[in-house]
Amino acid sequence: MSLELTDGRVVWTLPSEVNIYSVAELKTSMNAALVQKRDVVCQMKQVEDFDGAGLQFLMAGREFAAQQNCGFAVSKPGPDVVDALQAMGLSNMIGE
Amino acid sequence: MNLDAALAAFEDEARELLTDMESSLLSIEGGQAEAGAINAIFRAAHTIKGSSGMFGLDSVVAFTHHVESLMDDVRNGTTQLTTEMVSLLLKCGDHIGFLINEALGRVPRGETEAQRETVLLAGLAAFLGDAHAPADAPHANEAPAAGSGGPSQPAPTAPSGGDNDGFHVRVHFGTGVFGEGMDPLSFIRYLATLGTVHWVHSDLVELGTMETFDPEACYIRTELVISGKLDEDSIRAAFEFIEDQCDLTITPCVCALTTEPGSVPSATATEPAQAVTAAATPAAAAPPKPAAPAVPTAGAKAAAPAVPADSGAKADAKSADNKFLRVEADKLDQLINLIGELVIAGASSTLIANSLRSQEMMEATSNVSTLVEAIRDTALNLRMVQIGATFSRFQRVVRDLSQELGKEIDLQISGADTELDKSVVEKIADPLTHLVRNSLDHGIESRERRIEAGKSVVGILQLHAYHESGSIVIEVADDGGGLNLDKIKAKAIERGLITPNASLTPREIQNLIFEPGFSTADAVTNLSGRGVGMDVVRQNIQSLRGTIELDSELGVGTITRIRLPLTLAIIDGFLVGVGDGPTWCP
Repeated sequence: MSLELTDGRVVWTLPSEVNIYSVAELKTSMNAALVQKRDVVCQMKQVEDFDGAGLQFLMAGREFAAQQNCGFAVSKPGPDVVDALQAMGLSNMIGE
Repeated sequence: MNLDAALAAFEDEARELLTDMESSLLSIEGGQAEAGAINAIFRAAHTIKGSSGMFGLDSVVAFTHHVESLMDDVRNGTTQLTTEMVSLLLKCGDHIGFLINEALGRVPRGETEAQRETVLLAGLAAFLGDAHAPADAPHANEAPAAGSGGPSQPAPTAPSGGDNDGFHVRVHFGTGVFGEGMDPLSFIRYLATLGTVHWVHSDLVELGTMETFDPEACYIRTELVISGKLDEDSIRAAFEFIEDQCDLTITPCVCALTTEPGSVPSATATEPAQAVTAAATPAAAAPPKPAAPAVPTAGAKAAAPAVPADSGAKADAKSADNKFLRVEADKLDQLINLIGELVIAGASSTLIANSLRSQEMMEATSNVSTLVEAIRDTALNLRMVQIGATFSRFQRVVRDLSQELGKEIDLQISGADTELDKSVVEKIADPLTHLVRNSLDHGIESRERRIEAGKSVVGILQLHAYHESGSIVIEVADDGGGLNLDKIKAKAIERGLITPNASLTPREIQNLIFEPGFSTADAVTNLSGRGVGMDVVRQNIQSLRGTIELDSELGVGTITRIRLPLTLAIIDGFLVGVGDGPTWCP
């Protein structure tokens, strides 16, 4: 899990687990990503374990970014993440 | 919630449901084709499929889907349940058990299992007919709903339009859903297996601010339009596990006319509707046969219209839920151990009170002792389970073996409500299985021999349990040929177990069959006759502090009588011999 500032955007790299067991811990990093009030790219190439709580976490990130008039996109999601997003009608969160 | 614990609970429930399914199938085969049994089989398949879906056990979901579809047809009256179908469903139940083991990583899938699955699916497809061809339903090795297409994939066949042909489903998951170990994603995925999802949209409700956001609370609300051979009840049934924890609205609609909901306030209101264009596409323009549809097509049987047909059964299930509480065996053992310590501590208090000769103290400790004993007895009762469930499994064993051996055998069970310690029940199953197989294979004669002996062609195997003198007695009795003492003696001499001139009572001769390596079977079969069983049976019984005895009469039959202690948990004391008299050591 890391935060980087690239091309004026915050690249927020998520760990392998984004699920009910990890979202509480991840909230701190979400705050750190959003507090910069820049567009956020949520880098998900490492994510292997993803569930409904993880999905909600991403949705919340997008919502909070929108409240700050900032963009929020999911980048490089694995097949499980893509499946989950499609199942819930959220494919358009996948950005680059 | 610990996933391992949840999986263990799932497995327990699935095994129980498979046992129920088997019992119901056997009762139907036995001529009791009641609606309750048919509903029980459907419910077992439906629940196993639903629970498996929540854990992502896709192979279980995919296979059970076909069983569920067939049973749905049966209970709707569109298909008649036949003997062949019962046999097939029994094998399907076995295969579901294997798939659960496979999904939990306990056993690998070999060629045999793969072939078996192909044969079973073909059998199910034959009964299901064209409308439920396996090609239209999820394959065992493919994710049923979470596949590459997902629910938002274009519908393979567009709805016909005109009258209401689908349902608009809106579900607002309660905040405590995650805390209960449930996942909204799994419910939506499962729902997608019931039909064709035309569009789906999700948002978060009452999310609040970043500071107040609790990631472990659920804020998800999902709306979708689904069509297929499903009704409102089957959609509602998909959410039955969280019916108290969600706000569910189901409205009939015309799928082709529905669009992304404008009424839903959302930060994602500008999000394009998923697959709306596909839903509006005329049927002729839809691909005729998608290579691997990720969700069952409209042709695939919708699952679980559980409410109307099952309302009675559902009420029973609910009342059963209220009646029983599932408790981990470890917790119960811990309670029993603590009570054991309490008994000892109570006894020490009584001794001290006696030594102090305080009347008040002695009365108080006496009252405490009475209560402690009552608690002890009540706690021990918690461990007691009926032996009926163990006996019931032999219905299947007898059915299969009698078919294999070409014998007609009537299994008679009595005393199924007799209770004994859970640990004993678990350990007695294997020895009993061996005894039953021995009776079937060697005890009960072939049809021809029974006719020659003037017996009914239908052999009788009895399983009987009862309490006697603080012990539980389990009898396995058959009306077969009985033990041939001369043959046993000759075999024992041949094996060097006794000398040729040994003088033995009939009972001692009978007991020789418990010697290691002893077998009087003329032919070794794959069932028994290898002489590696009865000694192990006796060892197992003795390890439970029980005894086993035989009562056999040549030409009449054999009764094997197992005598076991009621409980293994707390022993008041040991009766030992000292000199000429018995002494009791607490």
